[in-house]
Amino acid sequence: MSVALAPKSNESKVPAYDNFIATFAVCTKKVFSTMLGWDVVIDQQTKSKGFLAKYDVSGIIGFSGAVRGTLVVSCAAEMTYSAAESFLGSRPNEITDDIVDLVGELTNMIGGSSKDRLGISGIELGLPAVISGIGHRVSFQPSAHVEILHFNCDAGPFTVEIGFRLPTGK
Amino acid sequence: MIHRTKLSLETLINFQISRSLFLTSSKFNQDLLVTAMHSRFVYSTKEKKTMKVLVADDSGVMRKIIIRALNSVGVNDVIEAANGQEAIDAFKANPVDMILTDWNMPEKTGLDVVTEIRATGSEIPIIMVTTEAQKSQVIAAIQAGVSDYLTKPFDSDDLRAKIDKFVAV
Repeated sequence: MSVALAPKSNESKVPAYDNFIATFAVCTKKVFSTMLGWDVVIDQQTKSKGFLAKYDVSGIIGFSGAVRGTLVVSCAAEMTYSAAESFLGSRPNEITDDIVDLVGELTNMIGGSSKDRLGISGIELGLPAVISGIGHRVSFQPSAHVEILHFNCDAGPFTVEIGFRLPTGK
Repeated sequence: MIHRTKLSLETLINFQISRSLFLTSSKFNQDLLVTAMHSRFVYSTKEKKTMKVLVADDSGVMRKIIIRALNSVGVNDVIEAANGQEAIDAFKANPVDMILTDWNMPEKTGLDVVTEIRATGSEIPIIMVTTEAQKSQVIAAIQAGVSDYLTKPFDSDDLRAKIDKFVAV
């Protein structure tokens, strides 16, 4: 399933729903391509509430103001080891402080570049947090719209989950 | 040795900030941006291989990424700081030629770092490396004395392009 690329918006009004999600997709691809040199593709896009993360490390960052929501980037441990090897030159064999830091930074960059690309004034990003542990669960409020982008790359799969509420109530 | 050079308005705009950001600013902000940029646009006559660069970021991983990128473009003498106060202390203790600083840091922010270093009279190039690219923040950074802006994500070519503006060819 392909996701339409979102052109950068210079308008302050909230973009259409599909454009909003596509922005996170574009920025995720750019972050992984620029920082890691990885070509990541979207296998599918699903909706879920109360998603049980299948992966081992999740970076979480909230946004507030004009658009309220949370971005979650979930990765398998092996994938983070490969990312660490690309960034740092050596491959760890467990989830270290550097791994936690790395996932937090990737989440921060995806959130920050998405916020910039959306071009909506009044959005504030929170500080990223990272959860590590197999089988952890990240849930959203029932009223939130949730979209899950299932990415894949040579190092393995990961998901980018966006739970949000647009001011129009859509 | 640091020397100033007068550049055309067009060159300043192309060098310092994106064209779209500048063109979407009000006339008042455009004048402010140009004035602020011009006052901080300085060159260093040092070559990259002899430069000492201070890297300030609370993320250990990001510091390592930046240092690897610096090494790849020929800069090998690097000092690290994990927060804003460490950055200011390192600047006072070491004759650095350039600073790359994050915006959001504990103790003191990147903006605090820029403000305090400029208050000493130092004119060394200071590059803000951050995900925060909103117009108001860019303006605040330039007003404080930032020389340029590098937004994350970036690769070594992006970093090289920023550094090359401020060093001897």
